[in-house]
Amino acid sequence: MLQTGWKKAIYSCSFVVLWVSVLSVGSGEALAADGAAVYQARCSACHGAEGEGRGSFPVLADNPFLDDEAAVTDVVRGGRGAMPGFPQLSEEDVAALTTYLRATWGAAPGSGEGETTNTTAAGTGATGTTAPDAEGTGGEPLKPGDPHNGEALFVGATAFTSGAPPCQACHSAGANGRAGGGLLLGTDLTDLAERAGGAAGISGMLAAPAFPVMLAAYEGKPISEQERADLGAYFEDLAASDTGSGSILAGKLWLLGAAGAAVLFGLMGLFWPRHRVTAAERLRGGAR
Amino acid sequence: MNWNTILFLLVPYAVVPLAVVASAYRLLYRPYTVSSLSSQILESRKLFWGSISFHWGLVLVLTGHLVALLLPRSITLWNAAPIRLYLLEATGLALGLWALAGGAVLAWRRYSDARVRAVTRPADVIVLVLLVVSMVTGVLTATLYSFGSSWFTAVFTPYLWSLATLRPRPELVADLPWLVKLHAFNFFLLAATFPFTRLVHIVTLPLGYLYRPWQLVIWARRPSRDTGARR
Repeated sequence: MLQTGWKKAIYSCSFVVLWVSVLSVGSGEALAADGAAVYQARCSACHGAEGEGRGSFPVLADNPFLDDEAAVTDVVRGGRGAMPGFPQLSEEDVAALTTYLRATWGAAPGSGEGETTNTTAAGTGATGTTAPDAEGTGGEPLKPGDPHNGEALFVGATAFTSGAPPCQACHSAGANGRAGGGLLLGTDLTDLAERAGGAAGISGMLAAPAFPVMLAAYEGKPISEQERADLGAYFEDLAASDTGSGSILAGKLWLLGAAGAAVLFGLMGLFWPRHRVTAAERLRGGAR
Repeated sequence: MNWNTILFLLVPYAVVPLAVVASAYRLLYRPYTVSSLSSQILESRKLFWGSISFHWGLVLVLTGHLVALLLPRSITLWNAAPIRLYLLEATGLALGLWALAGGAVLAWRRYSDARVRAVTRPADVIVLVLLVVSMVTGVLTATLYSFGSSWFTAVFTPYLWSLATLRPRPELVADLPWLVKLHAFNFFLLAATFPFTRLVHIVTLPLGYLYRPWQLVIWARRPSRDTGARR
């Protein structure tokens, strides 16, 4: 009977594969890459809607770096400094983005040699003490943040009003999220304030988080201005307190897990009934 | 249409209805084929160490996944204190390793015991391989990409609910590391094989015992001297 079931499994699987292939063939045009859309979704949170830069994220407007197409592609793919890479973007997306960046802010091809702007310095100077907001209007004074509430938001003791997940789900910072051992899904954020250009830069980044997993997880769940200010204050305190990011104690979790599994096997061997006494065994025992 | 959409939108929508319909068909029209295909009668010593740890480890770990899916806020609040987070992560890993070790014993038993090997069919091997892949990728995800108990509620809870409510958002899992994606996709493969293999025995879990009317068993014979007094 089961042989029949097995045959059915093969037929069904072939059917599914066939169906999926038919559907996937006819829809290649779905990825019509739009450089401006990619920029708004992935880049504008840190580099600003108008390419004006935030914190240590450089100004893109008229940035001579954009003249080197290969270098731009490399940075988009692999990241640089505080910026994460975006390896999940398709070839078309990267090409469209690079074209958009060069067409919007780059010098005309071949005429970029004369410019010598220091991109990092320009970026740091651009934001000053103002908090850039999600809409890119900028110029608004930064709300004072409460570092304690920021930490509560980070670990999840206080939930974000929009229901966005807590930072500690993927990140560590200072003493939070470090003792578990192993690696993390996200990066360590102990020195975020230095990398992102202080509370203002952090607030800007969090207005529309564009990092790989965060992009989808925080979509439709904005972090409020006050919450961003609180987190900014927490990260600034953390960077100032000089705890250092330290090294995550790799292996601690493995050790605990292996010990736990060994204990479970031990308990099983000691207390779990091996097998029921069968009727035959009862009869044999009684006959003696 | 990219690969992520195929693997995490089309495939689940293809295999889950397939699993439900084919399982229902098998239960209704081929009820006597629904079996775990137990080989306990052929070999029971290794089975004890393999089967108990595998089944209980897996059931408890799956319950953890289910709690994160149905009550995500409870996990987030529990994990808000570092010590509780580490306790939950270590417990989950211990159970995962317990199940994985049990699965390894079962695989070894199936390979090394001639009598068990004689009754092994291709479908049994496929199920075992899929289960081992599931447990290995799960344990590696737990240790390489901390803290799964927390980010599951941020990534997989909304993703699975989006599938269940027919408003699919496969992009939620698009940027995850490939190991995590393999762990999730492997679950869909298990669902696809479910109705056609011994996995179908899961539906025979006697939940009816929890709410059926209680019964009083009265033995209408005199207590036997050999086997001791019984009622």
